[in-house]
Amino acid sequence: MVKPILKIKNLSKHFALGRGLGGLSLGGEKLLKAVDGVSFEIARGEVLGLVGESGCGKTTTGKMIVRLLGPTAGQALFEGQDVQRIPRRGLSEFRGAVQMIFQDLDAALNPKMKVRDILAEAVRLGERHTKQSLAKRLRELFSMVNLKPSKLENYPTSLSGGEKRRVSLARVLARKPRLIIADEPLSALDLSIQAQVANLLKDLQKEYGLSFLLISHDLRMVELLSHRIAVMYLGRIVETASAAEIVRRPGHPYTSALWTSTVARKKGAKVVGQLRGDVFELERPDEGCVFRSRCAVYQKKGKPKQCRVGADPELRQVRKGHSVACHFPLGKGK
Amino acid sequence: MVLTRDGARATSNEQLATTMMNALLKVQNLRTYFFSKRSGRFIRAVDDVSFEMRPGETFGLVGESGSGKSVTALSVMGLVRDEPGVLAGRVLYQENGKSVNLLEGLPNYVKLEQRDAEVTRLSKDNTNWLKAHDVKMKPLRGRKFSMIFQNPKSSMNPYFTIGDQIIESVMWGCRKKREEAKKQAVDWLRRVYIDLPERRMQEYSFNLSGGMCQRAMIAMALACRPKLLIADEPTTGLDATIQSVIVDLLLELKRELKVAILLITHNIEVIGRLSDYIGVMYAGRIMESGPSDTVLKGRRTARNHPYTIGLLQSLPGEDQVKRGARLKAIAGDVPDVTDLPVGCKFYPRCALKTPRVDKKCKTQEPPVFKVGKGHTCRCWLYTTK
Repeated sequence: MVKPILKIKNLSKHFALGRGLGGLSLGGEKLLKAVDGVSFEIARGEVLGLVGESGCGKTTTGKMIVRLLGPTAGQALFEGQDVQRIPRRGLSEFRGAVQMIFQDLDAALNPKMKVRDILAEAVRLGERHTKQSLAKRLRELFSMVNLKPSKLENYPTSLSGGEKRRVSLARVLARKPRLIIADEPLSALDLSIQAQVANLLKDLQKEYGLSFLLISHDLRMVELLSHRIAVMYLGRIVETASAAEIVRRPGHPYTSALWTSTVARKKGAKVVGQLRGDVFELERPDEGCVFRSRCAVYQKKGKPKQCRVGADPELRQVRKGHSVACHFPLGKGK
Repeated sequence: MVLTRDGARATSNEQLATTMMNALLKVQNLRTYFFSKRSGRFIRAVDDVSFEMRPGETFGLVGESGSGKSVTALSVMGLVRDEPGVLAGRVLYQENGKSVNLLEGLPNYVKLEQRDAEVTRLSKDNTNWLKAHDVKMKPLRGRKFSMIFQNPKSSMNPYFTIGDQIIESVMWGCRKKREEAKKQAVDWLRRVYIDLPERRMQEYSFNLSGGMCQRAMIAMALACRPKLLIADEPTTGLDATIQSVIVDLLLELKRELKVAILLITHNIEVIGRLSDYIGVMYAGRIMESGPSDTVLKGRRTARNHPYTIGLLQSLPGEDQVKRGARLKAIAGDVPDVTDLPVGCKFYPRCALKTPRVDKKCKTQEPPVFKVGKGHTCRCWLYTTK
């Protein structure tokens, strides 16, 4: 079997909530389980889409993979090595090989540096260059992301959203990464530009055989760009399957509801429980399935005991390559 | 030049013709320009925009960032605060058979014929302008017109509870005593599906999630049953699931209260579900406007604007997802408002240029062509000559 480029084992991140933090009246010491026992793998050249509502722990997971955050428990293995245990010497190589595209473009690009300098800084970290060869390399990077070389002299503030996104992509590509963690790469872009950047990501992925973890809440785009999709809910992965399978035959009631409750739902699509309420409004239950308060199946089955007591259901395989964390997966027994 | 090929819609078009008389709001040739000191030129944020709204109808303005959607709304509300150089045209508000031009009588109300140089001189005195505009708008704001904004959290004051803010607006808007206003506020929170409304009244905006805050904003805006609700990007920045909830809520309230909604968003899917009529904005102009199913056909045979067609094609459709194909993106970038092309503003990115009209597109800006009943399009493709 081919070794995966990234393997996540039981990764967790718990934040302690002190009293008065951000005005939250939670009282006493309470734990916020941002990510709770997440496991998945990404194969070489594969795009894994990670979807879920805001606050479900998508970005925190991404940050643990690139070692911007340390996990509370569990491991992230990049090419077989625990990213937390990479020695200092190997760190620079690791930071080149695994790159993150950040969501907030204005925060990601230094407004006081010209685009040329932003890119040159990244290039010089991994390669030695003369003045001429550096200029050539920058032009090369710019053509990879379809930007005009004249934009090299601009400051980030004078670029449009699409251009900034391309610059941030060029900077990521400068270190010849093998795995890219893309955190909402298409949000905050205009519609006509979104399509351009989506195409660009697809082309780059194919051409260089890059592996991607694509974090997004735009279900359609994830479906379009990913090979496999993992759905996250309150810090847990509730379903993984190939992109086509998960859309056509969702196994978890949450996935199904997520798909059908979006604005873009197809006319006449079967709705298994419209999602009401907000993730933040919910009290997270200490016991049983965390999704049950919004679950249509739980209501329909008359609140079965399995969902109420014991631990949160584990991911179980329902079909080949399709796992669901639910006591009553959909599409079974038909 | 009037082209009517669409016989199928005759019934609804007749309806349209009769209701045309009692429009609630008519915006005619609205122009809002800002003077840019750096470039010494006008930034034409809104340029020659006209549309009408009838009671209970939703007009959706869709466009990319910088296309002038929000400035259009702010001009209607009289909330343009950034020293506009020009605010011209007519905003007619009709009630009980009387119609008022909300832009008339402003100290430096500029007539359309005036050219750039003169307008610069006039625009210098704008303190009076804002004041005069305020005097005119104040009795309407919150009573007849109300508005919800993109970021619900920043439109609420973090120093006051949600309850206090809604009560305040009800006291002003409906001229109610505090006790009555409080009851009304609680009722409205319940109406927008906020659980435990009495408890939520005591909370601050930062205690609420984005979706809940937006619902509270909607309650505040509609509590005094305004005639017109301006919703500026009401779903942007919210989760996909919450977006859907907000859209459903707006649909329900629209049916119930017969309020006219001016919906502004860049999300074509939201527009499609909510609007009766759609205007597609690009570079400060309405490129195409018409009944929503006509505009959203996105075909040249339906006489849609090339920009509308491009926008609809750049959405990931089912075919693309199935085949894993590339998206059909619109080439090029959103134009810089300080430096627009001479002819058609969409010309550099247009995929439907034909030799027949190419030269015209490059040099002359297309006027508004009527291409069907209630359907207009600014594109040389649809000229008969």
